[in-house]
Amino acid sequence: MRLPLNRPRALDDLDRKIIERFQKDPRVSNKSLALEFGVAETTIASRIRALEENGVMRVVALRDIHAQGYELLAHIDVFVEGRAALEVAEELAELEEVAMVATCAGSPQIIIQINAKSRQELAKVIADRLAGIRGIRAIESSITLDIIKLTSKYLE
Amino acid sequence: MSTRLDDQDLDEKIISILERDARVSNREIGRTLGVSEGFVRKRLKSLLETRKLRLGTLVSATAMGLTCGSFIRFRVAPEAVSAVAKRLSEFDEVRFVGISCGRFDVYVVTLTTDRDAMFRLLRERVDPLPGVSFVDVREIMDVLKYEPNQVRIK
Repeated sequence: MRLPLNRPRALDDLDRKIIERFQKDPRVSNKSLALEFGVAETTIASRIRALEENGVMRVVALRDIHAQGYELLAHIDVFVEGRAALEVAEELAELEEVAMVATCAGSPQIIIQINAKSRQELAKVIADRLAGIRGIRAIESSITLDIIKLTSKYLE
Repeated sequence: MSTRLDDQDLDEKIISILERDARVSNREIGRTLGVSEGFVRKRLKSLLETRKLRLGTLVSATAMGLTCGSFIRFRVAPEAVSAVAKRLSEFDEVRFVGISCGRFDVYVVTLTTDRDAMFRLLRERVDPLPGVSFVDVREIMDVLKYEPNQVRIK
């Protein structure tokens, strides 16, 4: 019996082994995976396709944030008043300069991350974009002076 | 000079293909862009060596059972900041560590299986670090936006 595509199912040992192997070498070939795990190359191919289509795994190129020109990274606590925090968060998420939006329990209700190419750009985002959103009572920024670690292992 | 611009343009095109799927072979990229496999290999090697790019495997945190994300922010004695940041960056659960200015000196994002694992990380491995005077934990309820393909390549 064939499982219909796109139906999420529990990962089994082979799935996990494939993921682990890709984490070590993103460009490992289907052929060497098949040899290594003692299964057919077509099995490997269909497993990889299922993992990708079910949103479990993606093998991608990751860009260095500084090489992209983002010199300034700021985390900003957003304190909301007189409006549903989720509405404010949704508006923030629409802003291109805002790289991350998360909601939290308590105050601040929202924490965002802004990537800016310069001090001027960061100032502009705060003055022009954030100031234009109704319901933001106050913000408090933490400017990153040095990124010690920024990894991506996860899709979400 | 125009050649150099063309090269940059091609680099961008190579990157954007690999951003969608890093398993596309150099030969296929070459065919798509109308350049040789060797050219793609050379450009990719240079992008990787200059640390502009890294190939990686992103996995669904939910599928891996990691359901608890938190911002953990620290006030640290000035002389201890760099040691604390370095130590924190060694923990697997820690995705981001920045030395920052503002109310906090060290800013961290963690991803753990659950709240209990986050608390254990704090109690067992963070609390003993010398110089930490204040810890502010914000557990994430919902992530509305996140760009996973930005990293710091060191």
